[in-house]
Amino acid sequence: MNRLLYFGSAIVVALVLGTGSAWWAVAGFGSDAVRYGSWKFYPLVGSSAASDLLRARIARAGLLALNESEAIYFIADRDEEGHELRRDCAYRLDGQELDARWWSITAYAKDLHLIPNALDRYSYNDVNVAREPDGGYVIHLSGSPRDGNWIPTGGKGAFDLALRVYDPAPALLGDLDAVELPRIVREDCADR
Amino acid sequence: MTLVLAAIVHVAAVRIYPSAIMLAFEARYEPNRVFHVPEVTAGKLRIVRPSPDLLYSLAVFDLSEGPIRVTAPVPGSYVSLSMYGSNTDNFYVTSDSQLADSGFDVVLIGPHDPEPGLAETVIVRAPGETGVIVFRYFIGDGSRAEKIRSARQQIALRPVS
Repeated sequence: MNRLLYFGSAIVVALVLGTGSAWWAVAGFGSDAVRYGSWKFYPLVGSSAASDLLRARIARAGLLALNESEAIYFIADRDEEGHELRRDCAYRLDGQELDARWWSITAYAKDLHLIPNALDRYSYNDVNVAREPDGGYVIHLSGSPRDGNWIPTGGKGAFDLALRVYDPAPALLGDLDAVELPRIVREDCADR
Repeated sequence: MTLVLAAIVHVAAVRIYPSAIMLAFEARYEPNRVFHVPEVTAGKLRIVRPSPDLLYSLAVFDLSEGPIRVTAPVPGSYVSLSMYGSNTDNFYVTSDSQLADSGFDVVLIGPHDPEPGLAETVIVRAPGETGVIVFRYFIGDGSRAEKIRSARQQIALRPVS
């Protein structure tokens, strides 16, 4: 009886440990990334060469992502000083044109869904973004309205940004270190 | 023993998870039929991280009764056709910029199907009998909405006779 209890308990503990550690690893989404400033890039997304762990992470956080021959995805969850992006803070994103067919920048809440707002404004792309005289662009991310390009991100908790680059030029894909990705500058926070 | 068993459970859970998610996704749709996802807004969707700059049309494919032919016109702006295996791998993708003519024409065959003798048609071998097909249409500033709507309506999946 004691032996049965021992083995039963060991199996239950193993199941809890095994599934718990698996979920922790899947939700982690970090170790496969290459970091470029605030932005992270996952080179083997969608590829048959992806590890089981990366496949599981994509299934959780980006199901049906394209492989890098068609699109590359950069994710930013920190500003340029390394602070977590918070919905009670205001940010200024400064970007330049990218060598690709088109690109877009989208804000997501911590639950990986779009941030609800009255304007239904969740993103900008290379066609609808208002440009600066030098061809670059500024996008404001904040709870209160801003002039120009503005994505409402107000609320509580963290958020992140996805920069999608579709049909990237071979030169861009071949030298991501040289790509000038948007800078994310924190301007102010509600508790300051 | 407990730690060894936990390690086995860990590896198995990580390996099974993508296929389980895809199977759950595929179960929501009638196979070999095209569904047009409405414009993306902040409501809870079946896909996380949806792009509001795209319109999605998708189909779950089932090749158990033979190959299927996927055809669609292009609207004059970015559109891609991508295919995913039941383990989430994006095993095929092409876009309008790679098309020699005016539209997509792809025959999708199962892992053990003989290649059909179809000239002028792209043949793609799927890694398994089921998976997902996704069309992505770039909205841009919205000025091509009518052309995109028309192109989406003409997506066709049909058996190869």
